Amino acid sequence: MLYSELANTFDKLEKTGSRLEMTATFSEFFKTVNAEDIRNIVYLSQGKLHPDFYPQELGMADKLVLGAISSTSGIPESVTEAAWIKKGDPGAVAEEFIGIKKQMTLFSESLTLDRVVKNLLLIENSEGRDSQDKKMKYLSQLLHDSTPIEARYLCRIVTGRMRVGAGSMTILDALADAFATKEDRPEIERAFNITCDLGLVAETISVGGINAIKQMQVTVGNPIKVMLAERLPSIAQIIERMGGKCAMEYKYDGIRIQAHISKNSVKLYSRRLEDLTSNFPDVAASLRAQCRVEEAIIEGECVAIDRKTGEMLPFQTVTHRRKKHGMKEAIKEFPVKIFMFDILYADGIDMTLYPFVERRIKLIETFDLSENVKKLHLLENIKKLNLPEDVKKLYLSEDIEKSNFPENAKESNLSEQIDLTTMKIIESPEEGEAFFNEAISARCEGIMAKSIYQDSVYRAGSRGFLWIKYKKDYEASLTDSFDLAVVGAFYGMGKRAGKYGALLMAAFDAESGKFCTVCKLGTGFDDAFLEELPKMLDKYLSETKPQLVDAEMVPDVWFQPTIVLEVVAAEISISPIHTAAIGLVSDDAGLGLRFPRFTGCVRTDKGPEQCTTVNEIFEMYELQGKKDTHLTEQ
Amino acid sequence: MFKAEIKSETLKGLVSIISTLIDEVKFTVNSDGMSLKAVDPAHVAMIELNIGAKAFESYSATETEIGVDLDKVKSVIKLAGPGETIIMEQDEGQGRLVFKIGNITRRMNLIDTSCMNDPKVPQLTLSANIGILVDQLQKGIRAAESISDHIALKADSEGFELSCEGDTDFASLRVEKAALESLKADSKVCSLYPLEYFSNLIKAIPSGTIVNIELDDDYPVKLVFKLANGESTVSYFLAPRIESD
Repeated sequence: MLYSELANTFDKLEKTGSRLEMTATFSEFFKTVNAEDIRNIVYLSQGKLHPDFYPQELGMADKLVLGAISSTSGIPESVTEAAWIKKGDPGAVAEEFIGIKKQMTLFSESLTLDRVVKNLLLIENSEGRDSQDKKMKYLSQLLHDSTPIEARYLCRIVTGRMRVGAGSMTILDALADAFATKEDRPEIERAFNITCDLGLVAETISVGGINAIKQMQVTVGNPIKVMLAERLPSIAQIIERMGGKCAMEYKYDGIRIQAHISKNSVKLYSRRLEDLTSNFPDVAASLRAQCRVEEAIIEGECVAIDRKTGEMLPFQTVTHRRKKHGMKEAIKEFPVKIFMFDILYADGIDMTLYPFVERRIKLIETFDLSENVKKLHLLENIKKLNLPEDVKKLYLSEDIEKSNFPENAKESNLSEQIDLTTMKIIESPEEGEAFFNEAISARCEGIMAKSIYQDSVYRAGSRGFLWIKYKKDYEASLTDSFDLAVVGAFYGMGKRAGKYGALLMAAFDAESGKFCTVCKLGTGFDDAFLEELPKMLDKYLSETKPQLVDAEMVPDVWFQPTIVLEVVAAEISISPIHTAAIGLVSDDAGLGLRFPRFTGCVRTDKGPEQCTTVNEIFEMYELQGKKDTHLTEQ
Repeated sequence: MFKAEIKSETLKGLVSIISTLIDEVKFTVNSDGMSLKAVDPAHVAMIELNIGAKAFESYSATETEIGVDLDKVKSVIKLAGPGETIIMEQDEGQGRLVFKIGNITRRMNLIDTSCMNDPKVPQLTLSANIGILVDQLQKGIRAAESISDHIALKADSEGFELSCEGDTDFASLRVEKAALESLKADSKVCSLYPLEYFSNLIKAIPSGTIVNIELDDDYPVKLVFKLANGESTVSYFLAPRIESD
């Protein structure tokens, strides 16, 4: 396949703002391509060569790309760099200068998709002393045979910033449209949620149709999109919503980890699919050592532990483990513990389809754990449950009690590093409040309530009321914090002259795939942070309003949504200028945050699509109303 | 079948010319000698090389293709002392090339040549033709370095000129007709070329070699010269840079 077909499709996508049109464009294109090419096409559309969780990235520095543009076109670097400062996009620079290149070739050959992928792989795998030169050379080779539009996307792909505006949801829509029907869309999304591999899903459906998609399974090595919790303003409401009875677990203040345990290795992924194995090699080793099955996928929260007292330490401590260098020292200095709370796969069985209680029991059975008390505790909990008799019998028969929880497990060899979350079956608001207070005094953030009914399966990638969280912050003020993406900035005045003085912040609208503004943020920055801001943000400068941003307010500069900041606010109110949830509360107004303040926390663990969603803000807005009326009634 | 003995200096001279462009190459071998056509991955330069049987100390071959990684061959050459002979033999059954230098044996896997296609050599009719000692060109390049990333080659009926113009600096080497080996230029011609390619090649040519330059306005340049005591011919093509403004 010629690469120009792909580049022209990207160009068409970029020119349209409408998601429907994008879907149609992609769908038409997918129908014309060979099955063996579709996987690479999908990865490339996301500016990648592999699925999201793959640790290796192209990530060529902009300066290096400019070097390649200069050497290909014969235009001096001083000129390409000046253009880059103006445009902020190496793709646009390439397009301009490849069009007027001075260096001729002896003959030219149209770029094929295979040749592009081959050279991109060479760029990705370049290592060592002269790796920068090699990367530049491989890119120049492609640029020499590129048309200006082809060059635009080559230079965007290598920097990993496509700016086409077609996210994973648009691709899934297009796949449904091209190879199945609209009704099949949930199945396709499920396939994506359990594999996190858009390319694999595309290839599967283009080869085997919707039937092959339905047969896709959870596999070790492919991270599963994490299930998320809703929130409610009080314990009493949670228990009511859960049907009077639910399981409650401590909500630990740590890093959520999904561990993929296979026979000889373990991979740890963060909730945004980063490979954290090298950050927690001790946890990985303990999990493998104490896992009683060959293959398993589990989830847990990694929490920093005080070396002397064994008490849990706040989130900031565990982040010391996220750095890239000096890991050996960090492991010694900041010991951690993993509190497991779910199991998604065990030796051939897709556990995501089982109800919560059965998963919890499976989790306990799957590991050798040092505290047998925990298991007994669970058995007591099971007795309280309204499980069908046959299920209950399965877990409570003496036989199981003996065989699965062997007294002879060599406790002395078991590390203290693996534990289960503290869990209890709760049957009244009083019990719930007591459990919540226990969690807080154990230095947890709050509690997670989970439904114990048969429909309480693991819903990969979705947020629903099967799980409900309740945090300490909810009690104190109206809401917990918001994680918002920076989409623009305003130049400062007075003391902040010449720097960015305020930022335009946006929430993610999962439905439209766009970032909708919710506030202008100018409070909570200290001088050092203001100083750092341009360094942090300028890489993502955009000449015009990015495709993905939905805004009425116009800042001095725009950014591609990339950096996520934690923000607290006094209240959510109707705003005529912000675009979040526009139409939901009022026809021509959206929701905005009142008195927003930066907490000082840059959420490096979250990508822009993991930030607070418009839907969440809308729900919080509604809760806020309920809470207020509740208070006045009292 | 391929078996040959070659002086280490001769092999080194050939390899250093080819490796200015490309590392993995395919030689076409027959009873008269070996040949190679290769283009650099950016398609800016091309090399055509013919090595006659007489360039070798001894040579016997039937028609075959040999794909080698020149980086590896370079490491073999380093094993040889001055004046030493290197024996090369294709181990046909296992697709390997065996080198013997004195009592050292070095085997290497051959590269699969099935997907390496010979590029088409451009057929050019260029109006100017200059014969010049490579030492002159080397001098000119030294003067041009760090001034700009491209050089101009010019010829007229009186002589030949190599010049380099940067944003602030300028350098040139002018060789009058009398100091050239030969000159045929009816009118004035001039083209620009990327300095890096040109200088890598010129630096790899042994001192004392006469280089024949075929030149025209805004056209590729063709450089022809002999190696291995005149038993091997190299044609090198380099695409021009064109200043549109």
